[in-house]
Amino acid sequence: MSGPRKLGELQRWLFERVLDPAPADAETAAAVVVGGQLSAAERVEVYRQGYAARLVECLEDDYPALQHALGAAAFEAVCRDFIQAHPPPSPSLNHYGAPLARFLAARPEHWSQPAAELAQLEWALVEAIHAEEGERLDSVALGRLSPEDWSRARLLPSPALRLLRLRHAVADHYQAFREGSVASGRWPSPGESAIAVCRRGADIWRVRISPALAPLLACLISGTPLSSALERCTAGDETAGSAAIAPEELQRAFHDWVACGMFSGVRLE
Amino acid sequence: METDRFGLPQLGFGVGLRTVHYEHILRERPRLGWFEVLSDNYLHTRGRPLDFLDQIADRYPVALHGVGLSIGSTDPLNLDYLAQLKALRDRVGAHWVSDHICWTGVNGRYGHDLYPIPFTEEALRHVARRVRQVQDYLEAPLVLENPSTYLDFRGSTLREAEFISALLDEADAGLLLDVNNVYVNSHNHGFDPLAYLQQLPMQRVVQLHVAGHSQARGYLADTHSAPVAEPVWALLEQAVQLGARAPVLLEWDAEIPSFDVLERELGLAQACCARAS
Repeated sequence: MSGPRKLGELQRWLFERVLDPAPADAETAAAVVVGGQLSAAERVEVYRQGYAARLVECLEDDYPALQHALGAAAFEAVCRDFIQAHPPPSPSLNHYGAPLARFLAARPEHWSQPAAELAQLEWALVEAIHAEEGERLDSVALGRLSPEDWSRARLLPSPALRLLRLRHAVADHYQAFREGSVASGRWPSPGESAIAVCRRGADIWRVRISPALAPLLACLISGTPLSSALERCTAGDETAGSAAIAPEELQRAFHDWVACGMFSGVRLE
Repeated sequence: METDRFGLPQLGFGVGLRTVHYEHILRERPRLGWFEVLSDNYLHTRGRPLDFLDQIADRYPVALHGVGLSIGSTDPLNLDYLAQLKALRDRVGAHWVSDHICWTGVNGRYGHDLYPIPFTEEALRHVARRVRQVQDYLEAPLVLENPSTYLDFRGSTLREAEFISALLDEADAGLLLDVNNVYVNSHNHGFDPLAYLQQLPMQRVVQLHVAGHSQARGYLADTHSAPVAEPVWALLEQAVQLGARAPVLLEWDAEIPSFDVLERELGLAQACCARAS
C-alpha cells in the first residue's frame, strides 16, 4: 500500500499505530508530512506516548495509595500492562479504572493480594464520589420503629455504600498513607478486616467495621429484615469462638452508620 | 455570513472549572465572568462533582467544553453521549456547547486524545454533515475548537485554516478560537500564525481560549501547564483586532496553581483585549 487514502482507512491506520509501536516504515513516511525537527514516525510517536500517558494519569488519580505502595516506576509498569489488557471501553474515563483490583489479584507477584485489596478500597472511594446521595435515613426515623416493625423493616443502603471484607488491614494502611506515615514499598499487613465506604454531602467516609459487626452490616445491605439480621448476626457462635455483640456496641454502631449516611431510608413490608 | 455570534451572550473573562478550585470558588465567590465546564467529567456521575457543579452554575454563567464528541470519526455518532451532553447542558443552563475538530477513536475503540483530521474535501463533507446532525439534536449551534496537532497528512489538499473556515460555513457552526493552539501548530507545522488568523471567519468566533504550552523534544506540547506565553498574548491581541470579539477563557489543566494565579492571568487577558479594542 502506498499510503492510506480514505478518511476511515486513515483513521484506522493511525489508531493501530497509536496502540502498537510505530515502525519508521514506508507507510508512515507516505502518510505523514515531515517537517520541523520531527520525522514522520516521531510525529506518530507523540500520539502513541500520549495515549498511554493519559490513561496512566487517569489511574494515578484514582489509585494514589497503590501508586505510593508500588513506587512510581512499578506502578506505571503495572498500569501499562493493565492498559494493554483493558483498552478504554467508552468515551468516558470516569470508570476506566474499575477492573484494576481484579487485574492485580490475578498477577503472580507477592504483593498481588494486598495490592488488589488496596485497589478495592480506592475504587470504592471513587464510586462513592460518583454515586448519587439521595435521601438520608435519620436516627429519629429509625427510633420510631416499634419492636413489631423490626421483623418487616429493611434498611435501604445508600447508593454510595460499599462494604469491603478483606484479608489485609487495608483501612489502617490507607489511613497511614493519608497521614504520610507509611513508606513506599510497604503493604497492608495480613489480617481480617472490614471497611465501609459511604458519602454524606461532600464528605466521603471510611468506617472501620469490627469483624463481629461486618456480617450484620452485610445482612442489612443485602435486604435482610432488621430483626432477622440481628438474630442471625449478633448472638455469637460458640463453636466458631465468636462472642455475642453487646447492646451498647450495637447501639453505637447503628448510630455511626446512620450518621455517616450509610442508609437512605427504611422500608416496611 | 452576517451573525453576531449566534446571539450568544458576551460573558467576559473566565477560567476552566477544575475540581481543586471547587471549594475556593464557593467560599470566596471570585469576581469573574464565567466558567467553562469540562462536560466529559460530569456525564457519568451522579455524585459529588455534579453537586459542586450545580452550586457553581447557580452562581456563575457556564459553557460546556468537551473532548468526547469525536465529530471527525468515521464511527457512527454516539447518540447516548449526545443525549447525556444535552441533558447536562439543560441541567446547568450552559450558554453553549463546544468540542474539538478532531476524532478520538475509531472502530468502537477510544484513544482519549484529539487525533488530527486530514484536510480533504472528503473529510470536510463528512465532518460538516455530522456537525449539522449534532446541531439539529442540540437545537443550538455547536462551537468547534481548532485543536493542537502534532502531525499532518500528506493527503491534505487544504490548509488547516481553509478547512476550518469552510467547515464552519458549510455547517453554520461557531468557532472556539484557541490562540495557543494556533501558536503551537504554527511552530509544529511551520506556518505563519497571523496569516492563519486572517483566513478565519472572525464573525463566527463564539469564544477564545488562551493557555500555556511547554517545550518538548523537537516540538511544542499543548500541556495547559504553564502561564500563557508572550507570543500567545500577541496572537490574542491580533485576533481581537481582526474582529474576534468574544468571551475569553483561560485553560490550566496540569500543575494547576492557586486561584489567584489564574486571576492574575485573566488580568493580563483583559489588558490584552483592552489594547486591541
